[in-house]
Amino acid sequence: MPADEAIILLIQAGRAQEAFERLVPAFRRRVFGLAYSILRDRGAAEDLAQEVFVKLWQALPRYDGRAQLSTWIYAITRNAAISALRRRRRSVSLSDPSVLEEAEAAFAAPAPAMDDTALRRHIEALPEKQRQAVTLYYLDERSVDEVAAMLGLPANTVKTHLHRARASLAKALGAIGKEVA
Amino acid sequence: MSEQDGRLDARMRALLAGVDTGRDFDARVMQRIAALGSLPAVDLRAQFERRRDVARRRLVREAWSNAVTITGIGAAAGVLVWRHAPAIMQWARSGGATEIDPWLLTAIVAVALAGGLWPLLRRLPAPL
Repeated sequence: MPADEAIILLIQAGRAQEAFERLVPAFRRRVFGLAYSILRDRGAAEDLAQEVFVKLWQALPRYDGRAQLSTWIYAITRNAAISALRRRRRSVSLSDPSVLEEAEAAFAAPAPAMDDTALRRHIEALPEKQRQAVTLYYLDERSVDEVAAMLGLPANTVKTHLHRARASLAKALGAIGKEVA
Repeated sequence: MSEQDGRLDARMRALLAGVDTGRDFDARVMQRIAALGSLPAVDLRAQFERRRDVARRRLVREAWSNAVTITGIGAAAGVLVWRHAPAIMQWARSGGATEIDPWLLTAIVAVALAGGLWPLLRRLPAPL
């Protein structure tokens, strides 16, 4: 029996604690990955994933089984991550000294070689949906369909985002490779 | 797949390989859940029963309300007929009722009925 079905049966049987003990490990990577793809910060994504699981626990009695369990969890995660992102954008101001220092350091830094930092910067520079799709695709080797379910987008849209993101990254990678050579 | 694509795939996998939660993530979640104190009402069957009870009470309330409305409309129609009884009788005796087109009469009655029932139909509860 798939993990999702077993969890739903446990919820319906009123064995919420047991259901939750199975739900957390089954969805930990997916919730964290989705949060990471949106927030782009490991610590923030982990904190958010914790919050999401607390929310799921509180919302468990309201889960009526109309949507797939994973779809329901992804929707809660996406909403929480987007809210967190908005809060963060509001609280981070360009006049913040730490932000200024970081920006100056980045500006003063030498051009990146073909290292992870350079690749990360190229990923960061991708449009939002492309970045999310490519992150989720490579994190845990997910299928296009699963990435689509996580982002709440049609599979074909995700394919397009992935194609563009990969083309853009491959081009950047090639350029960096040439610079290094 | 081109060599460049393969290189990109390998780089991306390597880059994201270490991205994970802390080892004690699950334990921390369960601790937070335990710290919440009161567990939510997790029995979905109980929740369902509760929602059904609420819906049942709402239906009873609406049924009473509908009965009162129907009685009100009926009483108003009765009073109207009572007050205008002589004029109606006179009109019927003078042959007014037989001269009127039966289709027109049917249409008038249908419109009057529909007009009277419309507020009730609008208040019918949505299917559960």
